[in-house]
Amino acid sequence: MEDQGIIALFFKRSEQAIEETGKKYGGYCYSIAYNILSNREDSEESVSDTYLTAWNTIPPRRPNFLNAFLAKMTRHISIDRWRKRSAQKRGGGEIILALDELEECVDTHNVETELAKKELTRVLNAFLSSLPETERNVFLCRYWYLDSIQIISEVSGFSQSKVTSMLHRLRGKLRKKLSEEGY
Amino acid sequence: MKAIDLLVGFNSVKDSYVISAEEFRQGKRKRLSTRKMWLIAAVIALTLLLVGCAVAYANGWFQQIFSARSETPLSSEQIQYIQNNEQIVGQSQTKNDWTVDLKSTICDGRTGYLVFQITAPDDVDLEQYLNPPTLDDKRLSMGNDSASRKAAYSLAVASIGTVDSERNYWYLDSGDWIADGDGQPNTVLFCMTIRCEKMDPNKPMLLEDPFGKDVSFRIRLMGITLEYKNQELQREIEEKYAGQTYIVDGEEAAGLFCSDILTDEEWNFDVTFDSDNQFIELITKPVFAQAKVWRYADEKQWETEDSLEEVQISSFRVTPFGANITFVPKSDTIGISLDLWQDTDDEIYAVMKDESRIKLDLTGADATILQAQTPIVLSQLDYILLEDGTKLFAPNI
Repeated sequence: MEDQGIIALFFKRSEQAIEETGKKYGGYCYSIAYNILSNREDSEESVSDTYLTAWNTIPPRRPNFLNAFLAKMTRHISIDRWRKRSAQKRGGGEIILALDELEECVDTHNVETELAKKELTRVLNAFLSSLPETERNVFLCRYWYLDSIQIISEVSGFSQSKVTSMLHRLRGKLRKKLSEEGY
Repeated sequence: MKAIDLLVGFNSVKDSYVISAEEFRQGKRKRLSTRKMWLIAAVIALTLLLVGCAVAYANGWFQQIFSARSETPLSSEQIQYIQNNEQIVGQSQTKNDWTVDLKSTICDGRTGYLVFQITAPDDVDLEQYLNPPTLDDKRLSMGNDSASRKAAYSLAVASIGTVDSERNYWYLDSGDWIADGDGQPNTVLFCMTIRCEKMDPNKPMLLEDPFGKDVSFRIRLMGITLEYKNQELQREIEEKYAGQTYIVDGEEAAGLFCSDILTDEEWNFDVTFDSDNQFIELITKPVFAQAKVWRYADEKQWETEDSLEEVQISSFRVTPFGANITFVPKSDTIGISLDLWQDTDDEIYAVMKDESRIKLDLTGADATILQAQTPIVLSQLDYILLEDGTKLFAPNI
């Protein structure tokens, strides 16, 4: 079913909207959740929460890109679930590695306020827009989708060492950009 | 700010970046190896030669397509196999004067082929892009990666999901553009290949029958574009580095790779393959062969090193359209390939009982899949010849 058809079902408050969303984007959302949580049960719960949140937010929202809308929601919910889980015990998976890598880009500024978060989003979008498409995709595969270096290597056709060095260079650029912007 | 703030902060980046990266993950923007580019160029050139004469569509589409891939005529057994297994489909959809017709499919249980005929509006000459003089010239590409696309997700969506980390599989697709020989410049063929691969090469794939009879696919074609290289920018870069050995950095290459949208329409087709899942296993006792082996070179896992080593093959399963290889794992390796990268003339072949050879190309994310140029009739297979000279003999069937 077309995305606009699924959104129309949400607006009609038809439960078929959830079914169609699951059919079309269930696997996609699950892969995002699983990369963060590395646990089948938690990932399935995150995807279910994504459907529920979509149900509660459409309407009033009418997303332009349903896939990106669901992906962001799944990622947000899964990171949140991971944080709660890791408060009890430190979990494994790509998120730990990604966080360790990103540690070198950050300083100790506070980004708790909404304004600060919006400003950070602006800086990140500016940083991503400055990258050639392939480099931007590699960077987001790692730090948005939390794909492993091996997976990125397989998808891109680059060697693992090239992916690793590319990410190292891009993190350096991000650190510079954040530093210039006062972060 | 903590790293987790940064990770969470990325959640709000532009939708278009997220979608573009997802397409990249799905392999839509996978780079072609030089070898594959030459193979495609050869397929196109041979096809143009062969389709000068009238094409006997009554014989099916795949007889034509596989004939174009080989310098030698198909054997009678191969033609028989194709005729017995080709499924004529005939689903046609027209969107805004662009018609896509799913003509036919064929599948061996591991690899599926689908042939589409694309019909553009009368004033659009598609055939001119089929045989570009160089790989930098305009060539057809299925999919629209531009920001104005109407949809952006995978091309092939199985009813059971395209990706499953738990069961360690994902479906991947690719395709070749070829002439249809009907004399109309606005019509061409697109031959799509779908495979199911392991995500983690070191773990088993827990999906016994990727193209089973109960598995249906939604094939989604989204937009048709022309891809090419900005040759003016290319010249500028070459002039800048004249006389030097150089590598074009990502930033410097921005704008070098271009695409023009021919159509932004979307076509959907529902397909269920009907394969008989034939295969033969060639490993009945321990077999060792030379292979290229990669390992991390440093503790940080930033660099890799490779060496030629003897590896043990634990499984070599041949199907009509190729083979799947499994190695006995070696310590600390991140990749094993039977492509020795020594002599470009060395290849892997299926040698048939009549001594004819079918070339097998290593493919797949972890180089454990071999794709046959033309169908291997399993009852006629004598042995598989590896690059190092090792022969894996077929059992008598």
